[in-house]
Amino acid sequence: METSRVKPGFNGVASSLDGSSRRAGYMGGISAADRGGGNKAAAPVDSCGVALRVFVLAATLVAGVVMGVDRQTRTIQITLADTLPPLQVPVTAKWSYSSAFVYFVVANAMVCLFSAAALATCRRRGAVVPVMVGDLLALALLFSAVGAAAEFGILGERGNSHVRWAKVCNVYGSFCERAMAAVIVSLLAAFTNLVMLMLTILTIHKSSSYY
Amino acid sequence: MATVSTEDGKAAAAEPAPPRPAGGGFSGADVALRALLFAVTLAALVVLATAKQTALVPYPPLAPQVLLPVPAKFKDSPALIYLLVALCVTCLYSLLTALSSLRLLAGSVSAAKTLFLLVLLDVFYAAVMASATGAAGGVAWIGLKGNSHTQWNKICNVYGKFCRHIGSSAFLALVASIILVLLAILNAYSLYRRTHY
Repeated sequence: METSRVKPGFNGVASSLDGSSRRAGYMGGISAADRGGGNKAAAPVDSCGVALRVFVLAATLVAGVVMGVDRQTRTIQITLADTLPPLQVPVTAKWSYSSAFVYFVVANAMVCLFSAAALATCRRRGAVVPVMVGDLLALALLFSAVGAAAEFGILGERGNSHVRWAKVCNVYGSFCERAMAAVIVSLLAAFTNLVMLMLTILTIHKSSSYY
Repeated sequence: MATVSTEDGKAAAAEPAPPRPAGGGFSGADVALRALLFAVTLAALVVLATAKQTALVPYPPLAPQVLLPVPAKFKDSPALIYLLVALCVTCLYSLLTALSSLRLLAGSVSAAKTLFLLVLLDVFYAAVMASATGAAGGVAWIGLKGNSHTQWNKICNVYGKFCRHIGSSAFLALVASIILVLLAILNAYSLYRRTHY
C-alpha cells in the first residue's frame, strides 16, 4: 500500500518537473521569437481553450460539409386522372432549396474560418480582445443559424396544419435525418463556443485586479 | 437619471488616475443599454402577443370557392412560442440587471463578482436571443416568401397585418440580441482593462 501510494506521487512529481521544464523551454522559445516586437511575454497558451476551439473548428466543418453534400432524389407518383397511369416524377431535395439551410452552411463556414484564424493567433497577447469579440459574434451567428435550421427542420418534420404547410420528411427521410444530424453537431459546436467564451471571461476575471 | 449622469461624470473624471475606484471603468452606457434592451424586448413582446388576424381563406377540401374565416395566431408556430418565451425571460433579465448595474454605479456593491456574473449572463442571454431570432426570422421568411420546393405557400399576402407584427417582432428581437452582444463586449472590455494598468 505504502509503495503503491509513493509510486504515483513520485511519477507525478517527475512528470510535473518534466512538464514545467518543458514549459519553461517553450516559453523561452516564444519570448525569444517575440522579442523582436519588444512586447511583454507571450500569453500563456490555454490548452483547454485550444482544445475547445479545435472541437468548434471540427464540428462546424463537419456540420457544414454534411449539410452541403446533403441531397436526396426520390421518385414520387402523381395521379393526374383516374383513367391515366400515374406519372413518375423525380423530385430532389437539397440544402440550397431552403434559405435557412443556406444561412446555416454560410454561418458554419464563417465560424470555421474564424476558429482557424483564432487558433493561428492564440499566442499573441494583443489578440485577446479581437478574438473575444469575434467569439461573441461567432456565437450569435452560430446560434441564430442553428435556430433557423432547426425551425426549418421541425417544419419539415411536423408541418404546420394552421397554414397548411405539409410535412416533407415522410418523402425525404434520409435528407431530413442528415440535416438534423448537421443541426445537432452545429448545436454542440455552439455550446462549446459558449463554454469557451465563458472560460475566456473567467480567465480575464481571474487575472484582473478585481479578483 | 441624475445619479447616472453624475456617476458617469465622476467615472470620466477619475479615468486618468491609474488605480480606479470601485465603480470606475463602468460607465453609464451599460445602464442605458440595459434600459434600451428592456424597452426593445417589451415592445417586441407586445407586438408579438397582439399578432392575431382572422382572414377569409379558400378551403380546398370542401370546395375551392368556399371561404372560411381562419385565425392566425402566434401560438400556431413553435418558433414564435419560443421567441415569446425568450423575449419574456430577456425582458425580466434586463430589468433585474439594470437595477443591479445601477447599484454597481452607485458603488454600494463590490464590482468584482457582479461585473463577472453580468458578462457571463449577457453572453448566455445573447445566445438565447440569437437562436430565438434565427428561428422566428426563419418562419417569418417562409411566411413572406414561401418555399416552392416544399410547396409551402406564402401566407403574408393573406395575413398582412399578422405578418407585419411577426416581422417587426423578429426585427426587434434582432436589435435586442445585438444590444446583448454589445453589452457583453462592453463589460468584458471593462473587465479586461483591469488586467493591465
